[in-house]
Amino acid sequence: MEYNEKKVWSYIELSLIVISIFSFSYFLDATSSYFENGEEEFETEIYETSESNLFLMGKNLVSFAQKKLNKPIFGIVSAEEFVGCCEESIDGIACATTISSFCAPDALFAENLICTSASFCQKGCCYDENAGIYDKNVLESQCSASWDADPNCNFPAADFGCCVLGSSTQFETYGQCVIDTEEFALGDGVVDWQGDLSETQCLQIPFANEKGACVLEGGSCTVNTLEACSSIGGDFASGYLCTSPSLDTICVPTTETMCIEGLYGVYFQDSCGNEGNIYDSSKVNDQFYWNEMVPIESSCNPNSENGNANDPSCGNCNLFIGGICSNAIIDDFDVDYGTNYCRDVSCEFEGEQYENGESFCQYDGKIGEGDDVVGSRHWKYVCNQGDMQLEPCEDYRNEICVQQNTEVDGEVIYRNANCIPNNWRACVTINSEAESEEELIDDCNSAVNCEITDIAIADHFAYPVCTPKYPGGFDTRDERYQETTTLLCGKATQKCTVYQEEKFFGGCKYAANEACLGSGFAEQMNDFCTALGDCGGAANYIGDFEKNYNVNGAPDLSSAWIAKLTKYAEPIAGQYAHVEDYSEYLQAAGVAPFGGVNEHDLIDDISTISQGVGGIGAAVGMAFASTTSVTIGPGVAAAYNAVLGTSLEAGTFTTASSTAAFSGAAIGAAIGAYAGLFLAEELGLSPFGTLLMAVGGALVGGAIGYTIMVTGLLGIGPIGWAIIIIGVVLMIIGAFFGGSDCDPIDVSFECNPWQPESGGDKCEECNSDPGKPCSKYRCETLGAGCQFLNYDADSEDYYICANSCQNDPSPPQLEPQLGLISPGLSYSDVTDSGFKIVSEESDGCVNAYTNLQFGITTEEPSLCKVDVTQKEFDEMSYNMGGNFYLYNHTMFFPVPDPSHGVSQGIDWDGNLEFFVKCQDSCGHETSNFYTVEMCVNQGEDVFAPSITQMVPESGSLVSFDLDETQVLITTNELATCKWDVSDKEYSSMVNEFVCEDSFGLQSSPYGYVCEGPVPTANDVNNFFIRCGDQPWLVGTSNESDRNFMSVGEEYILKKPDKKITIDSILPSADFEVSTEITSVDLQVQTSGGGLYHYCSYSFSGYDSMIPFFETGVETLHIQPALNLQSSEWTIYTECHDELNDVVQGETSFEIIYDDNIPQIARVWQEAGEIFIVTEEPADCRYATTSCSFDFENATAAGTDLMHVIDADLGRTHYVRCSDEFGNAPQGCSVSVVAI
Amino acid sequence: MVKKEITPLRKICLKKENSGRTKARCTPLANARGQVAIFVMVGIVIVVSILLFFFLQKKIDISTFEVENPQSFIRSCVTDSIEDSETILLANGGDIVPQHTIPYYDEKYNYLCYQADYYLQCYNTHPQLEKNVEAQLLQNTQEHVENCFNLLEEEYNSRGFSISSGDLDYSVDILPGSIDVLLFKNIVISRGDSSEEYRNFDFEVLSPIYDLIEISRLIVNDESQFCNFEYTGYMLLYPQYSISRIDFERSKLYNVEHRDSLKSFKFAVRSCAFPPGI
Repeated sequence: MEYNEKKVWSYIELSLIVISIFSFSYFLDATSSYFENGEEEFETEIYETSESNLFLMGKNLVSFAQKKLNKPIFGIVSAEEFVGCCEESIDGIACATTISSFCAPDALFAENLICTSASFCQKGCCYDENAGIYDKNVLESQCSASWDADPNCNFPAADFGCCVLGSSTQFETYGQCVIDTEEFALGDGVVDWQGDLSETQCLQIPFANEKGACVLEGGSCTVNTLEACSSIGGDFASGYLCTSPSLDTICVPTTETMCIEGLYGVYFQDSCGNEGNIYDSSKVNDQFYWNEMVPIESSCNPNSENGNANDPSCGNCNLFIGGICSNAIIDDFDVDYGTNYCRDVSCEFEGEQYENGESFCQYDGKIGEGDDVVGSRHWKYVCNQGDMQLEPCEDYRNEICVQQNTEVDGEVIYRNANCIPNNWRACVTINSEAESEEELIDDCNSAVNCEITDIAIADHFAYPVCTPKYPGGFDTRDERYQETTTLLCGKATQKCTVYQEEKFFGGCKYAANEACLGSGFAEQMNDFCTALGDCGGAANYIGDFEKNYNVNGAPDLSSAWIAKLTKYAEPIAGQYAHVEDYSEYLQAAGVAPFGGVNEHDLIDDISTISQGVGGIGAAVGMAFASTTSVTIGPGVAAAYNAVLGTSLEAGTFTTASSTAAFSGAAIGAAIGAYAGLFLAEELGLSPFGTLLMAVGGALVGGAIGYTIMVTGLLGIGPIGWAIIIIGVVLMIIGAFFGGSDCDPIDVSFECNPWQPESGGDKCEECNSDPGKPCSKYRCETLGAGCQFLNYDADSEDYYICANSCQNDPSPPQLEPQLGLISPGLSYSDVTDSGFKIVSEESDGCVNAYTNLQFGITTEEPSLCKVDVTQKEFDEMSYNMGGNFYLYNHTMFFPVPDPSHGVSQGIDWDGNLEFFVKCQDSCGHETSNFYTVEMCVNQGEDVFAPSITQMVPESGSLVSFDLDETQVLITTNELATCKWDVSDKEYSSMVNEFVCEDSFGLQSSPYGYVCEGPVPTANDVNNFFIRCGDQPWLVGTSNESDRNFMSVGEEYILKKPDKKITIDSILPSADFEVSTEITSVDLQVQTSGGGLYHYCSYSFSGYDSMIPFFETGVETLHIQPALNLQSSEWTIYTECHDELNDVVQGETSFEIIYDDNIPQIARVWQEAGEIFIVTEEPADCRYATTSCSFDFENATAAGTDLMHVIDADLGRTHYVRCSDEFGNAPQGCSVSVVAI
Repeated sequence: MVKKEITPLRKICLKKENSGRTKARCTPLANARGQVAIFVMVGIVIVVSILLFFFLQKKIDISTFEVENPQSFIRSCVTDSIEDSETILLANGGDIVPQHTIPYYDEKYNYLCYQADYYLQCYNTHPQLEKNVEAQLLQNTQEHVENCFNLLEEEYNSRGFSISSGDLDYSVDILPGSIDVLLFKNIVISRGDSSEEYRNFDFEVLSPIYDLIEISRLIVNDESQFCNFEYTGYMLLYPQYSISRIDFERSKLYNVEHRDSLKSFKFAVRSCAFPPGI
């Protein structure tokens, strides 16, 4: 592979990074809408009670940029600090996103601005035209030379070409060539710079140039080129060596040899120090061999398979297949003559031979399919002239090692590897961006490093997800990444609801998702979990499996499955990551555009809260669940209908002698049947029992009714009695067919960030392989007590993984996290074994529905768990503050209402107690439970529910295009809600929201959720919303106990004045440039629509859009520095606002490459002036010395078409003209003698 | 180009120069042809008298006969300083005292290109590196070069010469394969009626620093634009250089070595760094 070809990797990396950036930006949007959609589909299609534990997070787009900025490199930011771009930090770092206090006193600070948007951080080209030096991406403030706003230095003068300097060449700019030519004082100073040659061609010139002996006065001689020889006044004898007798020089053959820079072989050296022919020990005394130059292909062993490596007699080295000239004395190699030989440049690694320049990948275990083990890294090895050079790819698997083999007849003849960025972030993002399953699959399959993982566990628990082939690693000890890591792993925290229905004769059968109860649930969910990154049940790179997941309701992973996962820590021979198709990325990214982070979207803080809610909310819910009453499902309702239908049919076939008799029998049968049904319901009978009970009741009722209507109560005859007896018997039999509680079964999988085992016994494993140096990431995955040291004073070693547990014998000490507790509450009765949370109100009890937040502090990083019952540490269900070793452990949950608990059949008196245990990183566990107690105010519920959140907020803008808007209402307690266009009593409102949450299981951190569409066809749409609590009382005799909002919550939604519109797109017209590649700023101006506009672009159509670099804040959207070839271009742009209105537009233009130097059209002299006309406007200057004058300091003759020179009679005027792009001849445009 | 002047001291009969590069042959005293013994005797008497004169005067300085050529002296003296500074500059990525470094083992790699934020390309913090290196090389050796001239003066003074000198005009020029040391100082050495004048003390020190800086410029330009430099391919094209790259703490540590001289230019780049998570 040629160097230029290899450079493609640069572009690939660039593209990947571009993609990664934008993926990252939108990651926050990864509320997994796709997952949710999938479940919604299921909900509407099958049942109405499936739940998603993926919370809908707010899309406050304004805050995203700030949230991104809230994660500056300097760590935790206090609330009072401003975040923004600092021109120079106090550490001297230029242009860093930081907090104001970290900014140097005199430095500029742009609050809430990313540095790429800050004018003082604009990158440009720092150049010295005379020296021919062009430095890219330089701040103007750091440039001591000239500066231009093009960061990529797309100037003609910055192009590289081949500078011929005597017998050698340099691939450099023209300006550098001028300097070098002068410095080496070659020839007459004429610069030989060939801009049309590639670097490889340039390197071949010295070989192509004719060389020979250059004989000087006195018989001295050098081997040189004709030009070089002429420049020193020698006589050139082409193809001859200085030792040729015919030249009569003082140089004679010797047995010495030499290496020549730029050449690979070993050459004989004559007594004058000149090169002879290729060293060949058999010809050391062969005068003929010292006469003329012998081509390499005619020298010794030209076809040697190993390039004559380690051959003591032949110096015809071939670098690419084996050898290069090297010093035999230094290498301690015995050579027949001289001191040089062909050193073997091939390498051996684990018994395999590699040629010089060959590279390959090594891995710590299985790779791909989401199976990369925790702590693993990709390694690239390069054979560098005999040395096997290690290049570790970036840690945390932020880079992967890809390999490409060249094969001939099935045999690998050359391997080429590279570390490239891992695109794993994009894979996760695709799930949230795709709007359909087809789109998800298409997008995922077209994204590099991503693959579709089919979750196919049960009939209604099956969906595809896009996961990384090579999941990334996480630094779980850094607090900055704990929230996001929890959120990411939480994508695989899923619940499968197994639905049941009653069998006809009693008992339950599964109606849907039965397979979730099998072993496949945990296996597939764990695979999904581990594919997201360092999450779930996985082994580290030394094969230690750790369970970082919880599965409820289904079997845990089997030991065989765990053994399979553990085996992933063993590399698979011959496996390597293949080079994928990057063409789409390259096209989308242009030739080499690079923007940077579209820094708008970032992790929403809600994610953390939601985890807390998910944890403790579920804890409380679980405590309640065991005693929750049965809800009659649709299946039971259907059974009711069937039974009623049957009973009516039975009535139809009753015979009587008169209409009255039939009427009496029918009425009696109906009453009897109803009574039977009522009794069956009260007894909880099965469908069959209910049927018997209804039929029996109907018979009894019918017989009695008939008798009453015909004979009165005294006239029950034998038939009547027989019917009654049969009816009674049926009812008695029916009573034996009891019903079953066929509740839905929740099967859940909780995917947590991966944590190693406690302790530090295995830290040394990180230090054991010198070929794979230890790193912070690798060290910390070997044990929670492993600590990566940059320098260990004891062992005097660098980068050591050390066991920090050797001096830590004690468990963590717990105490309340003072200063962190919900308003109006305080810590009380603090002892070593716990504390109470009390209200500042008189009785000290906490009000129900309070969003309670409190915390515990440990004096050392610890993993803390909490539960509502006392359990072993490993069995405790909920992590306090996440699955991390922390100092501060925070808990957040809404306090349940004990009165509602009682009303729902829960035996709870309002006293709430949590049991906490903590374990430090060394495995020391608190011996006793640390208890947190509180009491919750009891009593009759007399408070109406309150609305805690409305999405969109009241007063918000809504879509211009849509006439209906989906609204989400959150209440502090379980409620039902309605809306109307005017405020009226709850019962009078006609439009109901759908409220699917159940008691104790709220699906939002803000409370219980109701949602539904409201019409928004008008410019301004007013609504009123009211809610009522205790929905379980609906239809009961206690329905009047419900509390309703006495005043409706006003809710206003507005349409924007006009839809989002693209006003302009730049470039919009053809333009000329002076280089083949030019930097173009793509700009889109939008107006109308919502407050925040987001634009993306593409070169290929609207299917694959790349977000603009600067978008979302202003209405001017900029994608800077697109590196575009000179060609015709069409760029497609699409913009949307936060209201999801979309507008598209495109621009077409041609970039015309103008590399023509200004041509002289006419020259004449008139009186004392010389007139020159150019074919295009040009800056013409002149001198009277020579053509190689300093243009900048030369005399100006005009900058238009006409140029005038004051003629100096008799002298030659050397004129050079340059157009607006700097196109100018290397010498003169014209030289004119004034006469 | 200022031409080197012929050194009058060469005409004084000296045993040899100490520069190690050139040797001058002594011209022997007049041959004793052996005809007249008296002449021999007279000669011996004269010589002994002269020696006694100097011995009794205690002003005979034998070392005077071993004094160096001033240019050789300066060259030797300044070369040490240049090479010392060159070593520091190579190890420190072009700065005598680097301001922003990343430690790796017992070394510190100077950042030539740095981006504090994740995902973004770096800012080239050392544009026009060659000039910067030249300036620092000059600054770091200036005092030593002046001291070299002071030492020369002391040396000659101690040997009975009087010496007068003008201002020092000192600059360095980093070129392919060498560092040109440009020294201009007007020095007049005299004793008795004779005097010699020196102006030009230019010389060159072989060094690959220019080429190493140029490679570093390529690396920094590519890293700042593409987040990568394809060094494996570069080494194949230019086997005289060995480039190694170490990914460390989200930075890349480059070591560009000139194989023949084994001199390495070391620096760090932080470009398009990825966070350890999201």
